[in-house]
Amino acid sequence: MLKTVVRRLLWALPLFLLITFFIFAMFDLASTDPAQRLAGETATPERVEELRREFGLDGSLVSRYGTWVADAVHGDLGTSYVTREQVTTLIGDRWSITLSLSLLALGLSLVIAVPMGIVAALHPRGLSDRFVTMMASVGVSVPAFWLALLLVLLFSVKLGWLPAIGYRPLSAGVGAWFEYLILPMVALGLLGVAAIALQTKGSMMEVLSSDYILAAEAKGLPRRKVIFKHALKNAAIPIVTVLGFRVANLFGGAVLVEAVFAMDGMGSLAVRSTLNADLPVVIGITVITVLMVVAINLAVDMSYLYFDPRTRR
Amino acid sequence: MRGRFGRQFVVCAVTAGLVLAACGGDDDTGSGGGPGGADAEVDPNGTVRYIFTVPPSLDPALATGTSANLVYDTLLEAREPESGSLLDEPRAGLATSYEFAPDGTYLELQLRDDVTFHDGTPVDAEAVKVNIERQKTLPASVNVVALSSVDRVEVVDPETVRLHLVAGKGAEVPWQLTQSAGMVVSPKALDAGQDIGLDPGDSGSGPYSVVSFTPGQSLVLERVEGERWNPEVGMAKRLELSFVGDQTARLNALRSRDADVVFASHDAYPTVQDLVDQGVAATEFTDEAVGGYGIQWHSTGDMADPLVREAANLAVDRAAICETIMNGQCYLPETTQPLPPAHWAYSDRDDMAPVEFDQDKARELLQEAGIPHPEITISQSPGLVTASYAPAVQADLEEVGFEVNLTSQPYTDAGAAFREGSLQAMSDIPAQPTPDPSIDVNSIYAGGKRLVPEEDLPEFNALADAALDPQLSVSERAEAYGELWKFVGDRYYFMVVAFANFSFPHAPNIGGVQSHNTAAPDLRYVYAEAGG
Repeated sequence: MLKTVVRRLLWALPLFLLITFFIFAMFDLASTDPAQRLAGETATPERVEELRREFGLDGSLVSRYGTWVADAVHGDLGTSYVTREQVTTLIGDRWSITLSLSLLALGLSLVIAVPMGIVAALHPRGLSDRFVTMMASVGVSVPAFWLALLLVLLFSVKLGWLPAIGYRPLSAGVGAWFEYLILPMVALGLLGVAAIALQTKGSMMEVLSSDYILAAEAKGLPRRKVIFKHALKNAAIPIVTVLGFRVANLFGGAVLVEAVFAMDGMGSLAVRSTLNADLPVVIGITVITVLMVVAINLAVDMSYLYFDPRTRR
Repeated sequence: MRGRFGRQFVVCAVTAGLVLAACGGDDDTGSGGGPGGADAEVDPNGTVRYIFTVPPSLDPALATGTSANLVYDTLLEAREPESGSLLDEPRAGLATSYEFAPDGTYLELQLRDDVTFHDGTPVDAEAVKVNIERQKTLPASVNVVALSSVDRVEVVDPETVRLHLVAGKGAEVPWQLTQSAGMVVSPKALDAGQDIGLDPGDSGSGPYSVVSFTPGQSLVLERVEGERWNPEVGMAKRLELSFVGDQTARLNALRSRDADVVFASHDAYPTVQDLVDQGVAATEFTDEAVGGYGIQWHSTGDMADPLVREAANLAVDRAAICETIMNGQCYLPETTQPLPPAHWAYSDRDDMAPVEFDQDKARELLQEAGIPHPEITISQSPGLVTASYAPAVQADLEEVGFEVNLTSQPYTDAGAAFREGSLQAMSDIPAQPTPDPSIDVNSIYAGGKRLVPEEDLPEFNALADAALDPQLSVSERAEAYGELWKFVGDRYYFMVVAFANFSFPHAPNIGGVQSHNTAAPDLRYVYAEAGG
């Protein structure tokens, strides 16, 4: 297992370098001059040049990238051009918001989608199957921001039950934290239901028609045990794989949902920093996101070892 | 066993969360009325949640805008407290009066003798000198140009400070002192090297102190208790400012009472009107709109020909833009000057009429110029109101033969590209409703490099300098700027599309909101009504 982990991490290195260099190059190609932006409209050319030197913007693309990599290795992701704050501080302050939102949304997707998929698989072509298929189609078609706006109009504006914008940290109390996350969680989480439910259904249907399941039922094992102990575990691999993809998608969806709910998370920070051409922050967010995706893929791979003993060989 | 517990936990957590959420009520926050004569009673413990822009720094030398006046008092003030209307001349702030020397060589400020910073240091002439010198010399200062007419600062006595002016200039300095250039920070904090941009601590003398600050995102302030030199400000005990970029989210927050005051641009007018009709919000709409929206033309490439620029002005249907895109919350300019008629510097001269919409004539002019299909690149900046009408301008120009490339880039980048001439047009506000035209003329168009081509620069700069003569009266300065706008207007360097309204819809129980007439409301006056 350790070998797999190490191999995975080693593979991640070139991925990091490729993606971060790509972003550096993209910013370099854009007609954006961070020094001019920092200095403002009224700055003298000398002031612009001074800022260029201060932020190390006067070197070539390769030398600037090299400097960034060297600093990043030591945990220094640089300083925001706009706020002059450390990128690690900026990200650290916001990471918990996006993580809370993404985890809750993922949890909600699972809680709804897996039972839906199982029920549909148990009654193929039945009412529940048709319902799941229909709901999945709706889920795939509905954009997150549109659902988010509808939820706000109903639960915040019309009923006044839940806040329309904002976020409360866990330190403000679990109740307040959860209250502010309910609508964003639903808006983001329902999107994942379709994919997970359909994957669960398909996977379960395939497993349920296997000989060993027929044998287990013939032996007289209780239906619940057959489904949850024998079938679901074996059907889990494709579901977990889809989950891995979903987590990456959740970060993308969080950008829109955070905007609608005015949550100052990583998504909002990413959008703002991109518009401000704040390269250190954009690249810092990219690094963290790549790290997350690599970690999730690793976790998915590791889960195969649990769900399918053959992969341990 | 573990799996079942897990499922039960998730179900319980979701249910508990929903119950908690359903039980959670709205925060009791403020309401409105007015220290300046409104009959509502102010809640001295009220909180006002205001969705507006949040500055990137609270250091007056590092960020323009006036939000930092919640913490730092300005030497002079530019607007009427209740309406936010721009005055004809600055009124007292930390300085009780100001006077130019008879020969215009200096500006003398008389300071209050009863104000101290919250750290106990007196607000005196020495503090003013330290601050103005800092604003002029700090490498990163955004106010170097704003104070360029100030040559040196002299302390006459603790309550008197004299700003010696560059010969023939300085009329704009009193107005500049109403902005961030005129904010005064405790010298003690500056000496200590305190990062006042992020944490001002006790370094201000204003009505509020900072509880928390996330640059550009949120600012929470609490009133500094005790006697204040200006009893009209600091009515709310707590102010929570946050930035929400999405207009729909802002208005939803107002509807659901998650915010008390929000900023709305003209495109939200129907929604705001609905909210007012439903009694959910209050706001005032006025004919005295101040936001001048326009297009600047750069005289490079095909736009170097004045006939082409004139054709561009003729081609754009400003009335249609005003009626549709700006929802009728606007009016068309009667002159080419980019100032609203209510501005003190608005010139009454009658030879500055803008061209009428006439696409046939525009085509004729292009033929006459020998450039039937001029190529131009227009920039629009995402998130800015000015981006809303850029596509309409593009369509109108293409109608008469222009080949238009519409690009999207951040405002500062667009400004830089425009100066370099790689953009021939910029969807922009030629002159924001700043207190003194020089703030735009001398800053944004510094040296005229953004507005006028090289050959016209000397005359443009001479006209701009003439308007800075401290020996001119208010009306004489208005006429001097009239000359400048006439010069620019005759050469079609920009076009004012329309003047449009901003609005600051707020909960009906919130008062002191400068709802109109300003794009930069003074937040010090907002308050919540008792029992709201």
